[in-house]
Amino acid sequence: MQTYDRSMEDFLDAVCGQIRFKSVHSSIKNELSDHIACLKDEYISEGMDDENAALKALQQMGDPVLIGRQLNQAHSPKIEWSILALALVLTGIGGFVQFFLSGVSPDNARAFTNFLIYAPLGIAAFAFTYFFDYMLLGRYSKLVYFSLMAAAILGFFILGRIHGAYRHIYYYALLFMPAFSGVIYGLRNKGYFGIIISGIFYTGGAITCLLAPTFSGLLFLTIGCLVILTSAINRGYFGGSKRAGLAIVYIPTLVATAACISVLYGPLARRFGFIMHPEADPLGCGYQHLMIKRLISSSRPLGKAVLDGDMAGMDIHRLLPGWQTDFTLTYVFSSLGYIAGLAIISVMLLLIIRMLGVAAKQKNAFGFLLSLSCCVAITGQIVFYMLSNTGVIVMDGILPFVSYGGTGFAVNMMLTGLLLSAYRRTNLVKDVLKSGACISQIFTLADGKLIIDLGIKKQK
Amino acid sequence: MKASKSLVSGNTTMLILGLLQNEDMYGYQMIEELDKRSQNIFALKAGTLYPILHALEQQSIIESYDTETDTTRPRKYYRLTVSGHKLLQEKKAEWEAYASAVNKVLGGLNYANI
Repeated sequence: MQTYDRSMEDFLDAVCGQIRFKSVHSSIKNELSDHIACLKDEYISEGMDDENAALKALQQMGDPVLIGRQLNQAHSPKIEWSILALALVLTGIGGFVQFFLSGVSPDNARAFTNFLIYAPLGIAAFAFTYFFDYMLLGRYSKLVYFSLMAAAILGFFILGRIHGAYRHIYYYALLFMPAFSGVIYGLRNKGYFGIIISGIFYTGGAITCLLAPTFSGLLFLTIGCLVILTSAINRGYFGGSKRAGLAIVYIPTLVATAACISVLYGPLARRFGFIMHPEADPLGCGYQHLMIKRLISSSRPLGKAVLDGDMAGMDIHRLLPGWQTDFTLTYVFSSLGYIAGLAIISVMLLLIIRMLGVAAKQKNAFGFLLSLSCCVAITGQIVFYMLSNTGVIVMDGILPFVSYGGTGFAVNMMLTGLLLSAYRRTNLVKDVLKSGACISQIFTLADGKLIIDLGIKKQK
Repeated sequence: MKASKSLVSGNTTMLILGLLQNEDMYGYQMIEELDKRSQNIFALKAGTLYPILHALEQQSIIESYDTETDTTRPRKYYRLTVSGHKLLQEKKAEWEAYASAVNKVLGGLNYANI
């Protein structure tokens, strides 16, 4: 018996020695050993003794190295070319835009040099996350979550404030989403209790955003976490009734939002009232908003927007604060023409569609949550940037891959890398949720007793 | 990528899909069944079968699931997906066209002399 096991082990090791992705080794070993055992049973039933049957079964299997090589080909990583190409195109567009912006004003002359420095760094960040085994994020999700938070808090002491706020928390909010998807994955099958714990983890991120303070960061974080949690509940990650799960998420969310708004109504109305009535203060708070609307509406298909009245003939970059960063798209619209602006928008939309498609097709349980989180983080930035740059809302932000900050570019590259890393290994990692592992009802009536089951005990 | 494509295009793939059209099977069962149905004409080796199965699964033509058997080992079963059923129909049609063409050539009638 011993020799049989030994040689079968050798055979399986020889097969797996040819297969690059270690994550598939155990499932292949199981399958082949089942096959060998079936063969052996057949030979024994034909009257062969145990040892000979085992030997013959192995001979029947053929050359392990050859099988291994062919299996390795079947399990080669998948490359999502369209997203890779779109990210590259957008990086190129970013380079072009920065080159263009650097020629506008001597104050911004370094924009293109910065691009030349930061683009390779961002691509390196992409490569790092792309080749990184994303399952580690799922396995050590709490470590990742708390390291990220520690880094954010450390930033409060080291980094300075810009316009009264800590800018780095914005990036923290973006990277928070993949970390949060890991946390949810760690809480799978934990029932309603798991949903409540996810809420606590979210609150930690939200408080960090409030400390900065960054309104856009908080908004991204909240929307992102809601999307991730909702999809997780809908796909039955936690177990239990989906409706009850969604109620646990949305009732506190709505209550908290309502409470915040009622408490902060006065200051909020003062702070954001100009969005509703920018005309009230056209030279103060309402200026930016009115200017954007004016530039967009007077933009031409190609070339500079034609402004009339008192602003006729003025340089657009002198009229539009934030043209180098927060309102680059408005600047492109008004100085290169709306064809250029719409071209950028359509590439961005294409990217969003492809990313959503990739996330939706993920078979792997954590891979789905992770790609969704990256997708939401990038999509959120794009959508809000477009809205603010076309004069719908007023908000600061980054247009992924195109507007700089090097940090913003690197963070978005990392998010893209993670998304593609999950895609790359989509078939290599067998990680499907076990359904029915958890209770389906909180309240059950048995033996005249009302039993309230939060699904905590089941996992022990 | 190239190798798996050529694997999928081969006739063995059609036979495997054909085996799975009515019943979910595990690897060993497929070899046995193929042997039986073809009256020992098609002897498929494990070393050929599994790479094809895995490549087909990568392309979502078939999918696999584990079941606990009476023995302690979990057993991996395969079944056709929707696109697998579609591919099988295409392959069948292709094969029938091919076979009838071959038969016409070998069938003895010489149309040129009629």
